[in-house]
Amino acid sequence: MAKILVVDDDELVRYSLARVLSSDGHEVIEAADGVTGLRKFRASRPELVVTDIVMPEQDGLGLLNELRRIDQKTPIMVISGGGEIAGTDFLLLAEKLGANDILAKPFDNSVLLGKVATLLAGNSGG
Amino acid sequence: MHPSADPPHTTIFKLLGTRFWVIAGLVTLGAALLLAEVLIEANAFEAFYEFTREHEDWNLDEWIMVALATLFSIVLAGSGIVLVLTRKLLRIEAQRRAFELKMEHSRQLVTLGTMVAGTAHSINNHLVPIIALVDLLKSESPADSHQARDLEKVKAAASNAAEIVSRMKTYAKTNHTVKGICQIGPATQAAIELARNALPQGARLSMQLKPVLHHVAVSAAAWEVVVLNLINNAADALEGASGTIDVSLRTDETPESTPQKGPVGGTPWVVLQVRDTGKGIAEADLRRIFEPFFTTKGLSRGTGLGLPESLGIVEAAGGRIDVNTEPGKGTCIEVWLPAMQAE
Repeated sequence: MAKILVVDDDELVRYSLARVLSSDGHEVIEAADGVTGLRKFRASRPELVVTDIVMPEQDGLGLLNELRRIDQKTPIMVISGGGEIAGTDFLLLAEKLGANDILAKPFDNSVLLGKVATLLAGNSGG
Repeated sequence: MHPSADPPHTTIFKLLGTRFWVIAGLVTLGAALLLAEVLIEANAFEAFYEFTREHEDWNLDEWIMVALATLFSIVLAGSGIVLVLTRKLLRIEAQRRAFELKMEHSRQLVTLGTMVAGTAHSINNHLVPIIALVDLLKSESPADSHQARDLEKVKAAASNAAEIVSRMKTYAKTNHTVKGICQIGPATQAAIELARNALPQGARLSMQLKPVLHHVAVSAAAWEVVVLNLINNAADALEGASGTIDVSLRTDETPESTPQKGPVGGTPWVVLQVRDTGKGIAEADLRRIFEPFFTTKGLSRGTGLGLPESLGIVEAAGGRIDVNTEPGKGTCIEVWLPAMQAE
C-alpha cells in the first residue's frame, strides 16, 4: 500500500505501530529520534510520516519544522502521550506548526488506520 | 445553615497560651507583694501622713485624688488600646497565614501538575503497545473465541487506565480549564438529569431547585462534573441499600467565615446541597477526602479524584465545599459559589 516513516523513541511504541500499520498492508520504516527520522526521510521518501513529539536529539516539533522546510506535500501525523509548553498542548502546537493530523496516545487501531487512510487518500488525490 | 468547619476564632488568651498568663499573674503578684513589703518596711504610710499633716496648706489630698484618677484613666485607656491593637495584629496574622496557605496550595498544585504531566506522558506511551497489540491479536482471533473475549477484557482494563490518566490530567489542569460562565439553575437541572440515568437501584433522588438564575464563574461542563461527582458519591454511600439523595439549590448570604472572598454589593451566593442517607464518612477519612487518589470505595469503583477535581473547579470560581457528616446516618455536602454581579 504505502511507505510510512514511524519516528518514536519508545521501541515498544515503534514495534506496535509497525505491526498495526503493516497488518494493514503498509511498508514501515522506523527511526528512534528526529535526526535519524530526517535522514531516513531523505533516503526513502515515504508517503506519510507518523512522529512522536518528546524524543531525544531532535524532538517531533523540530522534525516537523525541518520536514516542512524541505517538503510541503508529504502528510505528517503527530502523535503524543501528552504535554504542553506554556499552557498550549503539544498536539495543538503541532497542528499550528503544519501537522496534517494529530492523535493522542493511546489510541484504538481503527482510529489510527482511519486517519492514515484519510491522509494517504488526501495526498494521492491532491 | 451556614458553612461549618471553619478555623476557630483565635482569642488573645489562646494566642499567648496558658503558661504566659500564669507566669504574668505570678510576676504581678510577686511585684505587688515586694512593693508592699518595701513600703511597710520604710514606714511609708506614716511618713506620708506626717508629711500631709505638716503641709495642709498644699491641698495634697485633692492632688492625690487627681493623680489617682489620672493613673486609673491611663491604665483603663492603655488596656483598651492594647486590646484593640492585639485584635488588629491577630487579624493581620490570620490573613498572613491564610495567604501563606494559599501560596503553599498553589505551589503544591504546580508540583502536582508537573508530576501528573510527566506520569501521564509515560503511562500513555506504555499503554500504546498494550492497546495496539491486544487490538491486533483480537482482530486475528475468531470473534467468539475465549481469546477474543479475554483480549477484550485486557483492552478494557488498559482503556480504564487511559481514562484515569486523562482524569488525572483534568484534575491537575483544573485551574486552566474550568474558566467559563453558566447559569446555575438550568446547568444544575441538566446535570441532575444526567446523573439520574446512572443511579443504582434503591436510590431515590429528590430535587428542590428554586429557580436560581444567577450566573457563576464555572463553565457548564465543569459544573456538570461537580454535580455528577457529588451525586455519584452520595449514591455510592448508600452501598446498594435503599436510601434518598436530596439535591437542592438556593441562594444565601455571604458565608460568615469568608468575608474577604464574598461578592460585594449584596450579591448572594448560590448553594448546591447534596444530602444522602448513606453510611457517612468516618472521622479519620474526613480529613483526607479532598486528597487526590484517596478513596474508600475500592479500586474498581473509585479513582479518588472526584472530590479533589470538584474542589479544584469550585475554588477556581471563588467558591468552597463544606462537608457535614454523621457516620451511619449520612452526609451533607454544600457547594458555595459566589454569584456574578448582574450586568
